[in-house]
Amino acid sequence: MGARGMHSTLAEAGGRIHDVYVIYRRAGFARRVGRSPTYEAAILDNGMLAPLYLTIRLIKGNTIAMPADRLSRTFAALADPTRRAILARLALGEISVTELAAPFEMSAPAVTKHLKVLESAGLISRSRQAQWRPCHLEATPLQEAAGFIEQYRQFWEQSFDRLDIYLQQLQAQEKKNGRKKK
Amino acid sequence: MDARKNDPAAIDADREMVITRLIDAPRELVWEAMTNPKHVVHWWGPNGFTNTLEKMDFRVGGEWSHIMHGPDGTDYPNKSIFTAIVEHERIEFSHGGKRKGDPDTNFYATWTFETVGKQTRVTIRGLFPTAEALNFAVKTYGAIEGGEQTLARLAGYLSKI
Repeated sequence: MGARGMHSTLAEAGGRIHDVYVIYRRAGFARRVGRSPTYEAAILDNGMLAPLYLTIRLIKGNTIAMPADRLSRTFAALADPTRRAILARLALGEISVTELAAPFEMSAPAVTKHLKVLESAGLISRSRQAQWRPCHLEATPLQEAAGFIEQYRQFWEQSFDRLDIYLQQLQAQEKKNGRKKK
Repeated sequence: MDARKNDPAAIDADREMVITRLIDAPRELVWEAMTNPKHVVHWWGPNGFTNTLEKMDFRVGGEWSHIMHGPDGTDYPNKSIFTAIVEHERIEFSHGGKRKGDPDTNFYATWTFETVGKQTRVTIRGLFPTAEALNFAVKTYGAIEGGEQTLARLAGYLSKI
């Protein structure tokens, strides 16, 4: 299944978390790794989520948003340098589309297109009150993506802690056994 | 930007996550503990995890597959292929079983081992397809959080004067 086909099928599922998961699994993008009476644990095998063991807890029949899917959208939105530049500017404070477009040598419609991608990923929001509809940066998806790195770092910190202890045991054992062991 | 795109080193730097650790043991022993399957199962993974080794064929082209068992009973299968081995110095493998640079590869890892006095410095480099986006997220989020803390401190200070 191509990415486009995948997206339309996901749209049809209407965000029901278990349906989305079944589609992911059938497409070979996710695999089940654990199961209990109330949820299934799965790894999204889409080339970026699997290594950090991000599990999606799928409460069957429930309609809560799938965090891993949101993370994929965050990554897709951040993959473009123009969109990263837009976000970096928004980190300084809210601004209108016209002001935002100025440094990019880009038409306002082109900038609007990027803003739509950022908005659908939840990375920005646009005020409906003010006439000039300023853009705001939303920190939560960035925090989630940053948490992803934190998980990777923790994996190694804790593995190294365990390795330290294990090496101490090995060395103590070696000393005790003299040269016989090895 | 385009010039950088043609420079593989620049791209790698953007996509890389580096972790180093100084270990209090001689390099040969650290190498042994990190590459011999009978030792690896004892330390691999975060606190509370255990491992079932299926295969660790430690040679170039060899497969390393094991299942990590999480503290809540969830299983996490791992599969890697070793792509380079320089004894006591360096290991490279691709996690996900595909080649370096392949968009489907989950990550590409390089471990290096250096002697530092009586200790060993291990450096873990992970090349992630999405690391550029990840690093941006960390920096930007850090800047926002830092800004908020600064404002909070300012508010605290202003309330005192």
